[in-house]
Amino acid sequence: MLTTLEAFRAGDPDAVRVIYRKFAGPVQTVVASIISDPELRADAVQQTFVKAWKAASTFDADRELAPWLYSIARRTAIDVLRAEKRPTRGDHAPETDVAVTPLSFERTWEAFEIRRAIDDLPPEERVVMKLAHLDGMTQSEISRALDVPLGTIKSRANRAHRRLAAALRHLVSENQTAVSDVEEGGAPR
Amino acid sequence: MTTPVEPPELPDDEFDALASMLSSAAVWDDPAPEIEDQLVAEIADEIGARPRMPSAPGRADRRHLRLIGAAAALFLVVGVGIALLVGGEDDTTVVALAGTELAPGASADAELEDLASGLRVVLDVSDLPPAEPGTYYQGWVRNDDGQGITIGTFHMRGGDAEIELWAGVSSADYPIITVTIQEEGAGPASSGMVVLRGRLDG
Repeated sequence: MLTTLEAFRAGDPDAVRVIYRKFAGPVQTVVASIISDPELRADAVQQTFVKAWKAASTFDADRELAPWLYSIARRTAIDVLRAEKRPTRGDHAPETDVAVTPLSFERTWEAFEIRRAIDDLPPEERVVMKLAHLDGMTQSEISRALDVPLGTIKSRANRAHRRLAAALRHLVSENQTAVSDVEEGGAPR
Repeated sequence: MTTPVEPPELPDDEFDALASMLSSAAVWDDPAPEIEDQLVAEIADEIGARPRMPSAPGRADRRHLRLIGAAAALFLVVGVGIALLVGGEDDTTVVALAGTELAPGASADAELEDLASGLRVVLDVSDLPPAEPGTYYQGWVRNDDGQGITIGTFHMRGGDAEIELWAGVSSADYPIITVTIQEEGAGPASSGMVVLRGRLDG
């Protein structure tokens, strides 16, 4: 019986979908950290998985897939952005390479890890986290928006924060000092 | 029967650090829903699993042609790259390493010499980008079971160069040579992100 990776290498549609669904969010996050244009983002995400499929034979199956996919995503996003910024495109004479200065390798890897932790949350906790941290809603506002009792929202938020803090423990400890130095307020608890 | 007790909330500094990480729009950005089907279709096209429908040339078609060209070039590079060049005048053997998808323009010749002290590997590397800050390259020899032994690390920040690496095992037992990109502080294990690969055959 083929493993998912072996089936992915063979281009099996089901395996392609399994790999895509597992990593599409983190890959999108890396791409979105580098590219602002939605169409180019979509192009880069699709190219990332096509490149991964083509290069799957070079991947050591004993290793984690995530860092490898991350690396392809970051390089692909930079290449897509660089190609878009070139003054001429198509079958012209060789062009001067255009400098692209994305977030550092470390910062985009952090974003990839954060997204993986978010995607591992149960859907009902994920939506609470999104409304709180991205949209800046209070727990009362989330309660009204989702038509869910406030106590339930508080429990979900508490559990989600615990899960995320555990999954991202190494990043949380790195960021504690920096955040406490510069920020006041933030997302409502 | 007891009621589950909610764990206490996070300390303020932990919560603030977490909130800072979660406030980025990029970590919540979702891929366009049509990408999944387009991806499956593109891969099916690539392997010829389904006939292509004629259509007016557009962005996707241009990209498709570019990908086919890139794939052909990659196969050519790999095909040439894994060709074994055996030195006939002394005890050294030269293995060509080809760049993988992670470093498609890169290549290297690995000169192997079994000496009394171990296996000396001299890599003559071309067009491998300098390792970004916080990362480095690591050489490995591997056996056919996938077991790897590191032969040293380097960064290439001074441009193309020869790198001398050493292994305490025989090239006959460990015929595969790879170079991975590693992240500082991530531990001694291979990242699995292979940038150069070659094999001693025969």
